[in-house]
Amino acid sequence: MIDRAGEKIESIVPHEGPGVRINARPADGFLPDEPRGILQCENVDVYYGSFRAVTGVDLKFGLHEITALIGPSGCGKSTLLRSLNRMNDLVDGARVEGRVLFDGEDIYGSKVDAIEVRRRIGMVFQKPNPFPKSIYDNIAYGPRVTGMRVDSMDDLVEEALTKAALWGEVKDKLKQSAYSLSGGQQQRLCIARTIAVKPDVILMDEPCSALDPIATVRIEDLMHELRREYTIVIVTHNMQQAARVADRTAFFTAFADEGTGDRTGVLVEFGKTTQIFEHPTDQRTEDYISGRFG
Amino acid sequence: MNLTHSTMRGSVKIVAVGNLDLIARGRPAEFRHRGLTLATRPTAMAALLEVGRDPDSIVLVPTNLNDMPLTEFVDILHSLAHVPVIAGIVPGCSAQAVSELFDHGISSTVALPTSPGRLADAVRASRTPEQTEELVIEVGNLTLDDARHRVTWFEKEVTLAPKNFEILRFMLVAHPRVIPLQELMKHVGDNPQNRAVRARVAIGRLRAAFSDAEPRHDTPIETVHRIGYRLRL
Repeated sequence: MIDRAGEKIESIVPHEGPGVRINARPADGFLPDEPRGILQCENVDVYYGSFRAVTGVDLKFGLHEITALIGPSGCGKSTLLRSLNRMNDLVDGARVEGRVLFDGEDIYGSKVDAIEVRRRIGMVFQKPNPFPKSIYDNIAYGPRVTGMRVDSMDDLVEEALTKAALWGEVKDKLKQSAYSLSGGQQQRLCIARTIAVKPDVILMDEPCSALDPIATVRIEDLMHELRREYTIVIVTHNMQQAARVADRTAFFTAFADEGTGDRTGVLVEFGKTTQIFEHPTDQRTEDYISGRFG
Repeated sequence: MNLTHSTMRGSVKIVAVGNLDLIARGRPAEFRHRGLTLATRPTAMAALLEVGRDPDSIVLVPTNLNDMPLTEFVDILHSLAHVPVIAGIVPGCSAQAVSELFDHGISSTVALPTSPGRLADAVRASRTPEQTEELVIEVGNLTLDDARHRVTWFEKEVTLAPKNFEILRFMLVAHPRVIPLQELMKHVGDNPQNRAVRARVAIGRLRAAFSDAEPRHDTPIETVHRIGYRLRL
């Protein structure tokens, strides 16, 4: 168990006894100059076999902040995102060099349980991917298979759906198939499913790219609500979405290896979203955000 | 082509005194393309009557006007309706005569017969900055026709949403000045939220539209790092 500044967090290393989740941040709107990192990349390189997809990333994701990763296609945003909860472990030949620290612990450490990492650092994908089960069972599935001790599953399902702003729309049809929901509702169901296992961080890989504008607004509103309890990292190609939702923004680009022509992603600039869009320090950032390339 | 006293319709009406074939050369479509409506009247009096009907007109009068002293005609126009007057310079007109016309308040000059492009330049020179909003603006290979909401780049049509069209027009009027981001932010609508990113995104959409229209040429929008943007034309 780690105790810091009045907040407690369960270790991601398997241990005995119940943990206490990180306390929610008051929604005071204050954004410190430096993020108070709950999740941190230290000189991270990600490889697929011999191909280096991303290199040299140093980045802090602030507690109860939304951080947007932006950049042109092929710059390694999603690759980096997937390395933040060891999702890349499931890809043959993928490996990470450097350190990814979750509350000070390296998630790639030898004693770390990858399943526990993915429970604490949940993920929402580009396309809604509900299980072929009922709405209720979609939410209950995670707590059941991870062996969470739950006083009342009904209460947990209601809590998760309420937090995902879906309860009012589905409370009378919990036994219906998740596939009966619209695309936007399915995506909120997926967020509820992620929330149900009590994560600290939610990773979102272009969560609105398959949704219509109205469903997109609902997800963005939801992200603002979720930030009070969770830390969110979002990959997006939509500059206006990054500006609308993110407290901080990291811009990535790719450079080509002169010999092989392979393109490797690199972090160019990281800062408060207002600074990135109003006063970017790097010309490449300014060119990208105003459509010069990408 | 049969050139008679006629009207070629565009967004800015020019009442010209005299015969069309002595005043203009070029096809009617070329004048229309530049947003000019050219209405010719045979005499100064007929032109005055036309201006009375449409006081927003601009008058083009040749320096060899023969049914009334030219300076008197200019004075009447100004006293009646403050109508801008372009003097059409014909061969043999002296510099002193032109100077005298400027003393009487003409706005600009153009050699007759005039091409559509030169007449558009003379019209632009004769109007206040506020009035230029109505004009066809042509710089280099970029043409913006305000009335028709039409933009061409190397003669290829550029498809723009209204907001992006407004931003391009603003940049064209400001050309060749660099437009700071803060200034551009004032032109992205009334919503105060995220003006910076909306300005950046608008620039991105302009660039994409230029690229789509004419991919063989670099887009004319240049980033001036940490300052803003300008048109490179």
